[in-house]
Amino acid sequence: MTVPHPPGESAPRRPPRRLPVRLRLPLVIGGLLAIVVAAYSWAAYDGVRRASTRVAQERLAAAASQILGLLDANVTALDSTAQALAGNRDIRAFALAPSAARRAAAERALRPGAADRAEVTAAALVSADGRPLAAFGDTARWADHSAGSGGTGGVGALRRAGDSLEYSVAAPVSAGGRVAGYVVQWRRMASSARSRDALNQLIGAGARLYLGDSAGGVWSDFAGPVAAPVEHLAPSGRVVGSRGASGDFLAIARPVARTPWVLLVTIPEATVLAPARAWLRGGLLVGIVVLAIGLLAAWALSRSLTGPLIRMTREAEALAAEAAGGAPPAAPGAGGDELDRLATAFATMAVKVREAQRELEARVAQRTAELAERNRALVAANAELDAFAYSVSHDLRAPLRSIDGFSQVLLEDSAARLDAAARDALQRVRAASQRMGLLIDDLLALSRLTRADMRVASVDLSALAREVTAELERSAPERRVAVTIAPELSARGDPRLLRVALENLLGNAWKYTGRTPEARIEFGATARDGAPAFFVRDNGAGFDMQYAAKLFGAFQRLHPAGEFDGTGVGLAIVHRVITRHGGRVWAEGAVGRGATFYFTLEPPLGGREVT
Amino acid sequence: MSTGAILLVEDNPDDVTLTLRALKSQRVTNDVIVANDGVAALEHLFGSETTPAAPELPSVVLLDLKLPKVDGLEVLARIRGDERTRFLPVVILTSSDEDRDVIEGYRLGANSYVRKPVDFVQFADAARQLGLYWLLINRAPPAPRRP
Repeated sequence: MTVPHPPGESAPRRPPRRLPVRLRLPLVIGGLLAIVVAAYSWAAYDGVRRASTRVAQERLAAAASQILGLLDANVTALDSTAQALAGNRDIRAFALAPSAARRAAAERALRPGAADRAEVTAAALVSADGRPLAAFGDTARWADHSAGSGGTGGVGALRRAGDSLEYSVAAPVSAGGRVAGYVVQWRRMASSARSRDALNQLIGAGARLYLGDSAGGVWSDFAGPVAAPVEHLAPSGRVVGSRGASGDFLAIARPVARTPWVLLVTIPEATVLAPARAWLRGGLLVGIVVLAIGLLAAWALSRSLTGPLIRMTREAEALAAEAAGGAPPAAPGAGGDELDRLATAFATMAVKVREAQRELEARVAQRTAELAERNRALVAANAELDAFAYSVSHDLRAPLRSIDGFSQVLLEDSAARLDAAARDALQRVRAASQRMGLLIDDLLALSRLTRADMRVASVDLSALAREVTAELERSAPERRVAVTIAPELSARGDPRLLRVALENLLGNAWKYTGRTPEARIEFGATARDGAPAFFVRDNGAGFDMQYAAKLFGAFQRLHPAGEFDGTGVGLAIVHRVITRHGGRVWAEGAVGRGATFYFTLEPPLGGREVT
Repeated sequence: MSTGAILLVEDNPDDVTLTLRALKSQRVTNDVIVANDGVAALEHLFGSETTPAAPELPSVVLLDLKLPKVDGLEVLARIRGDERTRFLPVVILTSSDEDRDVIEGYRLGANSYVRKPVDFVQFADAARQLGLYWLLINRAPPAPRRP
């Protein structure tokens, strides 16, 4: 049967396509972790970079101060050397009064000693107005230097000389309060590899010292001339960043006192920032590891979260599919994430469940209607049966009464005219009609048992058995029967129907022990399948077990009518009563050795109230 | 005062014959008026447009239940519903031993309910006892005055 969809719940809305939660959760967590790692790494890097830069700046400034101190001492020494030379007797004599003889002495004096020979490339004596008087070594650059150092003496500018740098140191030659000339020494800028190492150790690895002139045109790294290491720097004495040929540097430039020189100390930014970069690398490495672990954890978490969701979704989809009659679920997982799918599946399932419920209700209503119809039919059938029984009761007996009555009339009125055989025949007619009367009565009783309502109560079976046997004893006081009744046997059932059953069972026992000397009848109970099985036992005629199955059918008799009277309905009545109680009845026996009839009043597992 | 007559309401002629014989064989000599159906019984008691009612009421009514036209229970109801016959002794004499017939009979005011045995000897004995009891032992109610 079909149930129309109510509007508005026919199809669950299709959610927009989205990444599954299983992916989204790790992505969100991973993204957050990445941001945290990046921010933390950057902050740490920046802090370390600032700290490194500050340390480098301080170190550069300190190094510059120390080197300047050394240079100052050097300049003082150079000045002293030049002044000592200017004070030389031969030189002074030649300067005051030049002569060929004195020139030779003066030139000898100008020649440097063993200690200075490596450094001093040339020396000269010039007159106060700049004319050369005497010289030692190559004085081709004379003209330049007379101007540079002229007049006042002191240290002159740096100048390139081949593959090295030279500078001049001049001192005035004074005599009698007047300057007679100047002594000029040209010195090659030189330092041993050892002293450079010492300097480098002083200022730290990566740092470089340069000496240049204040114009910035000439630079030396103390070993030889070099190209300008950085873009031009004012000798401000502050550390600043600057660009050089080989990258960015931190640099400080300071003028060297009493000279036209500039001291430049540089350190590559790469060196300064190396610890920060190392820190950043380490931090990034740790960050990547943390990120990886976080992603894994998030993946596992999302799996553990979405696993049950997915299972639930599958179940719900399967349920919905089942409710839809085995059709595959509508586009499983199309679009949306797990939650959307779950919601969709639930919605589908809910619709199906509602449909199923409606269908069920409709079916129940239908069944109820059918049952009501059947009940009406049953009531009608019962009414018919009632009418039939009523008719039987009235109409079948009336002819029997006529047959019996008029036979008796014949016997009474015409006895003289009848011979013995005729009288016997009439007696047989009477007996037969009376027997048929009994049959009709028993049939009606059986029919009534089928129709009667059951009223269930607690029944004292022992007391009932005592009453029935007492009646039997009263009906035949001449008989001697040993009756044993177990005390306190009770059961739930209809007292009237159970009395009928016991009347028949005990009546049978009574009847079939009629020819047994020392007749015994016993009523008791035994356990059978966990429920009490009551029994009526006698030591009477018994029966052949071969026919045990026929015992409980109506009008089935195992004994010839002449031997024991009865209609054969009694056990059918017992069977009817016990069956209506939900119980079972069966018999055991042997010919000539008695019979035992068992019955239970509940189904073996119990719990069913028969009404 | 009643006439001492018996009104036998019975449709089966065999039963009528046997009942009369049983009564007679038991020395019941009272008049027996036979009504073959419920209408006849009611006509006898209350009269009709063509026939007047019997001048006197019977001492007892032996009433079968299954009757043509008007059945026994309805006859009983009419007897009890009429002022004149309200106390008239009525014995239901029938083949039925259905509980509902017994109960309905007593509910409508039957004085007695006797089931006809198949055995004629027993039937005759029952007829004797009925005659003895209702005609001799039982004190009938005083007859109401006829209007």
